[in-house]
Amino acid sequence: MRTFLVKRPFFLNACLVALTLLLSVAFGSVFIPPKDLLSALLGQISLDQTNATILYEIRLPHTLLIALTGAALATSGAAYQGLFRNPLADPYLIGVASGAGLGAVLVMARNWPATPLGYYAVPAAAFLGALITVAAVYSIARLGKTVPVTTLILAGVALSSFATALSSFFMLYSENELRRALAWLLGGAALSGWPPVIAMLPYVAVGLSVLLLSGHQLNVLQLGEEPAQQLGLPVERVKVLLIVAASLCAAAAVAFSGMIGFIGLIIPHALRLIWGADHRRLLPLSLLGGASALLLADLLARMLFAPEVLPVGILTALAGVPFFLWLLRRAKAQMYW
Amino acid sequence: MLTIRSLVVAYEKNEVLHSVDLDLASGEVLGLIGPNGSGKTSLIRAISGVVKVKQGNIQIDGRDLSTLSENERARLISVVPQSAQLPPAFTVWECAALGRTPHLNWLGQLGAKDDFKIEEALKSCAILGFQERRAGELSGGEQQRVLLARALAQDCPNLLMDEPTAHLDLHHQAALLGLARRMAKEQKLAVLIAMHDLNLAALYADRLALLVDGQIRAIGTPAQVLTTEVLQSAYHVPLHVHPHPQYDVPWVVLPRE
Amino acid sequence: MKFNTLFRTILLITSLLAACGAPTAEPTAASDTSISLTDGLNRTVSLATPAEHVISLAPSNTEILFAIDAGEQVVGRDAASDYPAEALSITDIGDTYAGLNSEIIVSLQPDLVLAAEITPVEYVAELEQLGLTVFWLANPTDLDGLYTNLNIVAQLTGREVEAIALIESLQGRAATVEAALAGVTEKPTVFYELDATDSSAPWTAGGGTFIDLLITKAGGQNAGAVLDGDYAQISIEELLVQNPDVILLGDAAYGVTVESIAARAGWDQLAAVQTGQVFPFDDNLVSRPGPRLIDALEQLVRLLHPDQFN
Repeated sequence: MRTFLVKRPFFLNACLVALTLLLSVAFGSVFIPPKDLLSALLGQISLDQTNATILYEIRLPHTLLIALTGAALATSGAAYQGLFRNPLADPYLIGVASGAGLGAVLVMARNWPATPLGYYAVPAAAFLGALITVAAVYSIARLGKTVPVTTLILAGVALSSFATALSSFFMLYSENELRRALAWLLGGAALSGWPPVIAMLPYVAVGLSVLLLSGHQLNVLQLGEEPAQQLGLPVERVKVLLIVAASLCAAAAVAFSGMIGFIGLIIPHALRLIWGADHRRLLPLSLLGGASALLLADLLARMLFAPEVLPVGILTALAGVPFFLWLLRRAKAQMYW
Repeated sequence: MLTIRSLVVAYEKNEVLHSVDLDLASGEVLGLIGPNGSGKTSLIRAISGVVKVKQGNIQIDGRDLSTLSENERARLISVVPQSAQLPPAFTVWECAALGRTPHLNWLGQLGAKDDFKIEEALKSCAILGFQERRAGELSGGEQQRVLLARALAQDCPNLLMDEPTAHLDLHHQAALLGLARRMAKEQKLAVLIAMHDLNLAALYADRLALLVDGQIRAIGTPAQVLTTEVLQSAYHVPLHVHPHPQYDVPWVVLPRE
Repeated sequence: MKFNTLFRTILLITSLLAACGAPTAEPTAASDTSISLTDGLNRTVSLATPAEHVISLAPSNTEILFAIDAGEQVVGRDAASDYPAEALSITDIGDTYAGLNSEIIVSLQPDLVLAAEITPVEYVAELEQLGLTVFWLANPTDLDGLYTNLNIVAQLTGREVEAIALIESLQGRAATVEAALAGVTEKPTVFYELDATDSSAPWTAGGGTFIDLLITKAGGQNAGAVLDGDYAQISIEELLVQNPDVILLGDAAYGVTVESIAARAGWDQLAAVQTGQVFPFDDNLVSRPGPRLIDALEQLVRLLHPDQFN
């Protein structure tokens, strides 16, 4: 059985995604019989007003938002790890998280008015903050025509610290409560309803499509930038493409779901340990694996302390790390990276 | 074949190659020798397009290097680098397969011809037997052969090798260089090998080019280049050149300190 | 109650609102069955009949609802709503910061959700998209604003009569305080401590905040008046210069005791510490913009001018 599953990674991961999607929709603070839910989704029956609202306006969009976020984070994490050839890379390495955090905190601290944009001021500012920071990191790290990977990382770390410091400053001296900003930074701020899902979808779709098609390019990059160039790869162009696509995914994820850590770092590693480092396979598997992992974490976050909701970011760290350590012990002693 | 005229390469303000002229014909093995820091690696990097040429001209198979796209260049020149940076998790077959990149589309899909070339390359390097083993499990010599297989799979008429024997033990040194020479002769490849071991250079190269401080000091057959005066002035070591006891090539002997 | 008083009260409130330009509540005649008011986000919220199933998203709203006898109409309240005691038995719908639970809110089938200034604006949009009616009650900036809010909530819940009685009573108590302080010239300086984890730079309420307002009304002078914002930091040196007469520990609920103050570096030099004028204070009274603000006022006067008011 185990060999069967190990040899069919896509089948296994697709099943996991389907399962976690169903569980996520089935469980919530209000009990709706799972049978009814399933029948309603299949179009066989229609639920009463309240339950219909809960299913179609709360649970379904939330589930999709979480699935998209998990997929975006894990795939961009895998891409970053391949691009930087560094096992510590995660989607937040070159400033997405800190930039998004700064944008979000700025808006929360200023408490923008409730115009139609105002309702989405926080995610819009977070998204812009993330992209602006990545662009700044990239232009700082550029030396003539090339962007050395090490310089990118250093510039990313430096600018991230700067943005984080600014965020802390604004949080401390804001007119409002700190706790809202804190909740956002812990990954407990997923917006609900359909508009965030629809707003997030194009960015994630574009980013993921590009990344999924770039598996071979990432494979070649593993040889080192010079050998890759000698094999005919337009290395600088590929790097820009990957950075833009991965940052787009990560920025959208952070903007609409808050800062959720560890998914982007650990899921690709776990998948790599089991199914190898060929990026043509690793990236789509990360997409599936990230979605199901975050769905599961989100489910636990919602159910453990109901009616209150634990920020997902806390759960991914608490649960993700021990799981990963267990996996590390079980894999071969030599890290296949 | 390669034709290099008046090549000048500089890093920032620092010139590392001053007006180098070089010719390499198909089927020929040219040994590039010289002390460390003389510019051997820079020359290889310039020919493979990784480093910009400040002045001068490089022609590959009659075409100007500066007019070629990255892909076109990669179909004409393959490089075996000095040290392996093979992804440890990739199998030997997958590593060699990466050599086909210039012939593949963006997605890297392999066809029957690609599979054939990869298999041939692995066979030539005598590593077909362990194509499923992970690169991380291999010894230094085996890894070097994988690098060569990758370059052969790239199927280019010109092959550059940068100190390929640097980390190998004696048995593998001879095997690798012998293989490179065979490729040159059998498949009419133009092969340039940067080497630090003068005796190996004498044994396996048809011609030698001595590069010192970014300039070609001497170029010709081993007998012409490996003379006591030339080598002493290049390496600043009181060495002596004797006739090789077994083969018709010079034999460089280093004195005891 | 006399019709005169009722009429004058409404007139007073309406004219004050017109003068201040605060969010206007168009007063409706008692016989009208439909209710239409503008909330703090400048949206017009309409109800066909007074709300019978209200969900309160803030402790201040819960207190207001119970104070105007609308407690029976409350079907859900946020996790922080702990006053009065009856509120605790109402369904918990989550915490403003940790997350309000939309599913439970929807399942309670409310006809009105009463949000407050601490409710994130995005959440209001979300609830509206789920088909709910949301009224966002802005924080008052002075006591008259408080009375306006009481009136608004009363209209939304059909408790106008009870609200008027409450407002009268509150106004009366405020007037009593004012009268007791007539002619009192000394204004003790008060330091209201919000947080002193870093005792060299504690947090207090700045000028223009409600705490500042109440301290002034209670015949005191807020040490933090020169600062800005709800949360302002003051250095211990500046505090030593101001040398407040009274220190109120608004963070007493977090375990800060009167005895622990003297142990802080430099704090034993403060006059208030040396004369024993350090008192714990229930911060909920001043931080929740509801009827208990008057309780806070009275407590403040008792502490600052014990001779005039007891």
